[in-house]
Amino acid sequence: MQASRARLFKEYKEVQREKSADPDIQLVCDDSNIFKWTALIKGPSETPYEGGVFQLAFAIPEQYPLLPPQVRFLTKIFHPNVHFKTGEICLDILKNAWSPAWTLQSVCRAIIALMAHPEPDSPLNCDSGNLLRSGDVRGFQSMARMYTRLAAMPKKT
Amino acid sequence: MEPLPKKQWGKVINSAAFCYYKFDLLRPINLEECTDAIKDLEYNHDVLRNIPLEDLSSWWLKHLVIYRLKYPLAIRKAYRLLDGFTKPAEAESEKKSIHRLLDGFTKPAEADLEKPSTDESEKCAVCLDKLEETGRNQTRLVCNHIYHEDCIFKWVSNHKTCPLCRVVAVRDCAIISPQI
Repeated sequence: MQASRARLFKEYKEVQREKSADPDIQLVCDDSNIFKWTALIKGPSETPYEGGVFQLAFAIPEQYPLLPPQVRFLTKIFHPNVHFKTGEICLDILKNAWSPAWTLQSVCRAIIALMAHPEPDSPLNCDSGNLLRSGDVRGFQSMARMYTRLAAMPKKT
Repeated sequence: MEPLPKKQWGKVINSAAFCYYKFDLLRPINLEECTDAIKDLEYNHDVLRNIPLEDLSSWWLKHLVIYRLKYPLAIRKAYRLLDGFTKPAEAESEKKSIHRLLDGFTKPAEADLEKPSTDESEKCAVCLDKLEETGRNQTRLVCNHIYHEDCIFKWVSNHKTCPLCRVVAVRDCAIISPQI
């Protein structure tokens, strides 16, 4: 408990110090609970997610960093490895390939990498996975782009 | 060399098991630590029974007990263990190689082991604290990555791999809980 708190505090300070280091990631800690974080990540360029800003929710277990944080998308996203309803993410480093050397920041980077390189063979979103597996890249991209526009882009007023 | 009393055998095996456990984590250990561990392990014989005896063999004895502990007592322990666990002929050759090692042994191996690595950052990847933080033991894994001892022990007790490079840092039979 104490160890996880201390470690998260270190990460917090690191995030504050290197705020401009990675303009694609904006990690924010909950005001009252250091075990709850949110992140805003920019959709990687040359993907259907380009131009979108996606919100992630982190729930950090007390045994962190021995156990991985629970991360999910709060913003709707059409991606083979993200559950369309719950936002749950299928990513090995968040499950069995977790290592304490990962940080919240590097997890965000891994998620951005996953957005750019979907793994259609382990889909949480079957529709999305099937489009890619059947070779309908265009169909997948237009669906993904549509949801990016609908959910991840600020509404023009 | 005087033989070790039979009564001490439990302790020898305990300390050997403990050394073995620590060995894969490649760090120098001292006698105090070892005796503390022996005290703890004395109440935990079930754990020791799960360690195959053939694994408590010459390899770690040479490298750990002698190279690390460098106590005359340890050599005695090593001899006793060799007599007990290996065939006589093998034991003889092991004893010779132990002596060869001792002859070539001038500087303590600890000096090399304690040197902080320059390639990796000086932070412990588990707690993100500085490694040199006062009063905390460090552990160097087989892959040369260094962590705080308490940090990495919490991790390897369930995972066996180095957090930074995923090298298998601990062997199956070495996973015991010294309950320290």
